Amino acid sequence: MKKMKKPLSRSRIIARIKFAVALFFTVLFICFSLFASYLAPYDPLETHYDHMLEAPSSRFIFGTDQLGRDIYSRILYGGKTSLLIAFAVTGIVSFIGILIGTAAGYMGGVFDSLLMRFCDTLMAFPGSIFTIALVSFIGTGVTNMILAMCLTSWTGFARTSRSLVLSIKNNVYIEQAKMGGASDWKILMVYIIPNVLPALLVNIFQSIGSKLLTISGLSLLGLGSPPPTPEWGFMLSEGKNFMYQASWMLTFPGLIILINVVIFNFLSDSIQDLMNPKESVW
Amino acid sequence: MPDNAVLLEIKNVSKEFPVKKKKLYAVSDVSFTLSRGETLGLVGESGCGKSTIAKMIAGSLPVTSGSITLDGVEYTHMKKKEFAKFRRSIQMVFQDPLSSFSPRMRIGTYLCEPRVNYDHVSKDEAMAEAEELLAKVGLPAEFLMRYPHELSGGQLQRVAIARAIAISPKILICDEATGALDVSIQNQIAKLLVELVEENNIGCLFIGHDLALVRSVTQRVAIMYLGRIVEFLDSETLQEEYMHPYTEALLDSIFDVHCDQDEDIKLLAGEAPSPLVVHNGCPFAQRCEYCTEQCRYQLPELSHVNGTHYVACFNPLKR
Amino acid sequence: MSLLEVKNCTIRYQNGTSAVNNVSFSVEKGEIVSLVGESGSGKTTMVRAILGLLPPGGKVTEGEIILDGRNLLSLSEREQEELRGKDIAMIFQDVGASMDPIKLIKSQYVEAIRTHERISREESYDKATDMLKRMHLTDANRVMASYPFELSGGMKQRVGIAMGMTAQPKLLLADEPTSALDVTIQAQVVHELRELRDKYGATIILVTHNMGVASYLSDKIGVMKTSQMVEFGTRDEIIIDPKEQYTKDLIDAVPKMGGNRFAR
Repeated sequence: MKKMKKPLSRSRIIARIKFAVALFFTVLFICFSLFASYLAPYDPLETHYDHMLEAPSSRFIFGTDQLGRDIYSRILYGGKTSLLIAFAVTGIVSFIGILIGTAAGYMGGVFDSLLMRFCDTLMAFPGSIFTIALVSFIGTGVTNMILAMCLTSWTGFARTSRSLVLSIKNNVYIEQAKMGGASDWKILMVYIIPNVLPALLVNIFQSIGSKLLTISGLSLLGLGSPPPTPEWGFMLSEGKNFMYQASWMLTFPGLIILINVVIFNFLSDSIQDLMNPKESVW
Repeated sequence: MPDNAVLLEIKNVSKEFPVKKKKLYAVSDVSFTLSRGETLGLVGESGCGKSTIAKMIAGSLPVTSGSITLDGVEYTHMKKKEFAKFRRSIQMVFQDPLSSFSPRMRIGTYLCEPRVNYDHVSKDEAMAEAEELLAKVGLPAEFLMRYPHELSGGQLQRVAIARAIAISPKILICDEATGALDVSIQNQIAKLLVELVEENNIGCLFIGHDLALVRSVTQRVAIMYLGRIVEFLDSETLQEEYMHPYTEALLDSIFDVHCDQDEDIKLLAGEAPSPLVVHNGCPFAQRCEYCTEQCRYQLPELSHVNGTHYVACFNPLKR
Repeated sequence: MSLLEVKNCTIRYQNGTSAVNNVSFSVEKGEIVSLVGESGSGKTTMVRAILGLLPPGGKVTEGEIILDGRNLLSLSEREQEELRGKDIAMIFQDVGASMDPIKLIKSQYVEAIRTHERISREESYDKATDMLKRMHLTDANRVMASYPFELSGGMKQRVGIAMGMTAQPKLLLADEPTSALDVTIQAQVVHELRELRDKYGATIILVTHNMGVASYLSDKIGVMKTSQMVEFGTRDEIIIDPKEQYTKDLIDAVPKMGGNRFAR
């Protein structure tokens, strides 16, 4: 069973191309938001009272809103808020979730049962409704939104990472590690987490996409970032009032959310393909 | 002071696992000793309890009753913290080479682990030692930077052995350590093990199901059936001196390369009975062609034949 | 004419590596032929090609496989399916894994029979129990009413052989049928295979790494090494008077009861 440098199979090459494309678009959109101040033709808060609700034109390529603000610029700036929140929430949630989940899975016993029952309880509430309820309870605003989303969605990561740990916990190499004198902490950090993390990467990137949707949903309901901060969901919310006069106010932010969600899902999908090389066993 | 010759002493060790409302008797009343520089073989079919014994000696499974003493120290009831340090004296090599390695850990790091964990030596020092260890088991230094999946099964098993001896254990347990390898590789590993045991003067417990292979690397062999040791034999004279009907059945089941095709195979009827049931008599009674009334109701004790030869049977094969 | 003839067969994978390279051998009716060799030598790939079930990406790129005058490589997908189970049957190393864990042996067995034969359930059941008894599973009715997990490894293996043999295939392919078993159970299964040939005239191709088993069962032996057939001949030619150094080494490497010991 000598392993040689084999030429890549076709499925592997396709997986790599898919990943490269997904990564390219992800980076592209992140750059758009990061360099919004350079790319945007106008200040997102600048009002042009003589150009209110103007259809897309060469001057305002995505049109303007009810206050004459440039939608294109607002989308660029809005990306900063939306993506930042999505990244922050996913980062916090995956860190906490993975840590708790792996610890529970590895230690087992009472700690595990307690934690998992707690997770079950939290998961018994429908996620988005719970988030909405929480935000309306603790108040609107970016930080509160992040907090509410974190509280409701770490359980998913905890559950997945726990089950992943359970699947490798009884592996012989864990036994070997113990004989080699590794402490529990070391086993967790050096032997377990590096082996479950790749599988979780898929979930992490998928989560960014779904968080984007949640953020937009919350903002649409007016529970997100306060006006006048540009934010995609909030732009939708404003746009729905002018649906018939200025459909572009709804179309462009909606499209951009859609594209971003698709890209992040595509990215997670391509990572999965990349890590599950369906190569023949023989 | 304990006898210097005896390194490991296992006394009346039993292990029961709760299964639903019943008990599974995995190991029943097993006793043996192991000396420095000695390799003891443990042979039996799957489920006979040989791996359970290995795990109990390695301390990864508590005993239900009985005692295990290493160099005069009884350690079955040691506190977790104390045992964490004691554990280095007993190292183990497992059957499946690939699953003994964390897929994302380089061979070098893997080899350094025990020294870094137990003796707190620096990473560089441990790495230098790892290189020597690789040389000892006949592998090139460049393997330090490789990942497990880049090595063959035999190479991985060498690495596993190197790691086990890195912290100079007193006991090395090989649980079917050559079982997953091709025969030519199997012989190389067996040879390497014998050399290392002699060189380092450690005790070795070699567990396997291939009697011919186990015999070739050991001085003594213990034959297990259904959680009990039924016969202790001297490896050299095993074939001439065996007395237990089960040992005979095991020997009859080996297909020799130069066998006579026209000779009928002597078959052992049926399969091993369930370990969930308590047997009053001899565990082998149901399948034994020499079984008598006594065998069904009374458990034969291991009795001394001569030298290192013990057998647990009422009607041992006369020779 | 031989029952099966493999002529200059080469099997390649999509990435260009060859798993079997220019292999030829033939099997007469009523013979047991063993393919022996170390892991990765291509012996399993070879029998899978005969069965027409190569792993994805694998393809017979050169040569012919002729069973009873029919070139198996030119058959359509449908014809191949018909062939499998009717003319060629296969037993795997771990029969248990190829069984449906939540279905009784009874329903799996009867279903398997009825996909190839238009007979009633009752008839199939009788046929199945008859076959199980021939495999020395005396309590056939109890076996039929069991789930796979309720049977031991040796019993499952015998059920697998029985299922494979029910349709009286021209050729039985056995891929390491005894490797996962304990030695005493292995002896039972080897005995069963031998009886299939002696009593019922079955033709068997046996893939194994166990030289002892191959030596006991085979009429002819093919030794494979790194995708090639290094030696093919009668059992005595290979075992008693091997021509190739590799074959000699392979035979010498097998641990023998009376052989030398490494330990002192």
